[in-house]
Formats: sequence, structure tokens, C-alpha cells
Amino acid sequence: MKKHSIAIGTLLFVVLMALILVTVKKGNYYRISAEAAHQVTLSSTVFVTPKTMDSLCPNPLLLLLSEVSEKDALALDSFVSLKIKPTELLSPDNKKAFNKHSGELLIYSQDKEKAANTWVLLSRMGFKKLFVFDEEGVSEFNYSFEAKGLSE
Amino acid sequence: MNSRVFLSLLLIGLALVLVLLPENNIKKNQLRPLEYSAGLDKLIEPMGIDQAARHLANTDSTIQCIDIRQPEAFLYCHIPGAINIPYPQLFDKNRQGYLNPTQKTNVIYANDDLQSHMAVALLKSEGYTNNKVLQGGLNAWFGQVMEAAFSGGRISARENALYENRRKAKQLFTEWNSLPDSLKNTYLETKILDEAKLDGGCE
Repeated sequence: MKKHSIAIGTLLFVVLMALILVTVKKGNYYRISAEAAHQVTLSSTVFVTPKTMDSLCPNPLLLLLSEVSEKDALALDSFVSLKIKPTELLSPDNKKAFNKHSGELLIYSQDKEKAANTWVLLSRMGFKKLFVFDEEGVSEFNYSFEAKGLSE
Repeated sequence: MNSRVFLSLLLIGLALVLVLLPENNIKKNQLRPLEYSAGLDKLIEPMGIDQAARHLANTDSTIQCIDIRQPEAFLYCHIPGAINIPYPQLFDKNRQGYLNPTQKTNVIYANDDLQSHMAVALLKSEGYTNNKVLQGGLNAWFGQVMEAAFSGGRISARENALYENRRKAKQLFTEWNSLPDSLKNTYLETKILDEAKLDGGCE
């Protein structure tokens, strides 16, 4: 009886450990919450323009989610780049390349929505020093508005 | 070794492993990272300015605009009916009801669409999928709606319809932002009532 319970206990432990190790190995879970990722965007700027490139992002690995437009090519030509299909962002090869690079990761896409979604995904997967390239950065309001009386 | 001691040690070992595991941040309705990544090719289309103008001109109650700029900018002027949730307050607990609607679609805007895209992406990763971006933000709204002008030449029926929508939306925007805050909600309700009367609806 004693031997039985020890054997069952050991078997259960081994099975549970195997399940846990498989889950950890798959890596299909977020390291940080969406709220924590949001806090990152508040505590430091994540948008890099050609003017702020040198100070924020001096040694980036460029993650190209689309072709580089002509106006952006001048600012980005000199950097090491990795062309990525967005749907294969979390492939083992890509993750290895991201981890291997010691500098910043700079996401580029002509589609801002894709760039933002990629930033959120990689940030929640635990990657730090992560930025999005945008030629203009966050804009101010460019117009003035004059309140008028109601029309008849 | 006593079997009870052995089993206890096993359980303690298991508990330690579970404690040391990384926290699983997946909530209900959230996509796991691989599923999220697989959906990066099929993102939500932003709402165009003319589409937003049409919804506004028709006082469409299935659309809710959310202005993520700072309160001072919101008070200066904003799209009629919009509610203000400044970007830093996006994850405040008392705002979650607005950001995860079941019967409306939120159209999120700022001065341009860069910060709005980030806001929508963060909300989407939280499992809130009923949000979309106003393409180009308020700067694009002003450029396309507030500064729309009729050239005087012949235009097609489609161009005429576009111009009419922009004109109505511009009028609504100007009237709304000229009102004191206490009258703004009443104004929108009156607009909805006027439309119903024209359609022959009941008061």
C-alpha cells in the first residue's frame, strides 16, 4: 500500500511536471498585461522619428513589416533589417534574432495599425527597448476652431 | 522514508514549480499570442472621415466616438457626442464599460491616428474588439469636413452626396461646439427627434 501511494504520487508529479514543461516550452502566453504595456507607452516615448532616432534608437534592428517608402528610406537605409511576415512574427527563428540583437528593436510598417499591433504583441511577450518608426510622430492639432452662434 | 512525508515533499515541490511559473496574463475573450500574431494580416479597417461624417449626419446611435486627447483639447472642440477618455486613463477601471461595448462600435480618435492605433491595439490585446480608429484623426476631420467647399462646377451624384454629408456634419460640429456643456446632450436628443418627425415617426 505504501509503495503504491508513493508510486502513484511520483507518477502524478512526473505527469504534471511534463505538462508544465510543455506549456512553458510552447511559450504561447503573455509575459506582461495589456495595462503594463500601456504603462510603458506612458513612461517613455515609443514612437521614433528621424529627428529622435539618434537619441532614442541609436543601434536598432529594423523589423520590416512592409516595404520602406521612399521618404523613409533615407533615415533607415543604414540599419540592419529583418523582413518579417507579420503572421510569422513569433516564429522561433525570429524570436532568436530578436533576442540575439543587443540594441533596440525598431518596428517599421507603412500601415500604422500593423506597426501598433506588432508593438503591443512584442511588448506583451516581454521584449524591451521596442520602438515604432513614424516619420512625423504624434501630431499636434493643426487647425483653429471658432465657435459661432446657432443658425436659425 | 515515510510515504506521507514523501508525498508531502512531492506536493511542496509541485507548489514551488507552480509559484515560479510565469504569470498567465490571458483573460476571457483574449487572443493568445500565436492567435494574435496570426490575425495581424486581417486587422480592423479604420473608419474613414466621410463614413464618420455620414454616421454623424444621420445621428447613428450604434457608433460612439471616444476622444483620447487631454481634457483641455477636448473642451476646445470635439466630434459631437464624443466622450473623453484621455489616453493615460485608458485602463482605469471605471472606463472599462465604455471601452468594451456590446451594442455599439467605438470610434477612437486623437489629433492624428498614431496614438489611436496604439490605443485600439492595446484594447484589442485585452479582448476588447469593438473599437476602431478614425482614419487621420481630428486633423483629417478638419481638412476634409470643416474645410469642405463647393467649387461651383458640375459634380456627380456621388460627389453631391459626399458634399451634403460633409456640410451636415460640419454644421452639427459647429453648432455642438458652440453650445454650453449643459445643453449639449439635449441638442443631440433634439436632433434625433427632428429626424424622427421628418420620417413621420411618433414623438
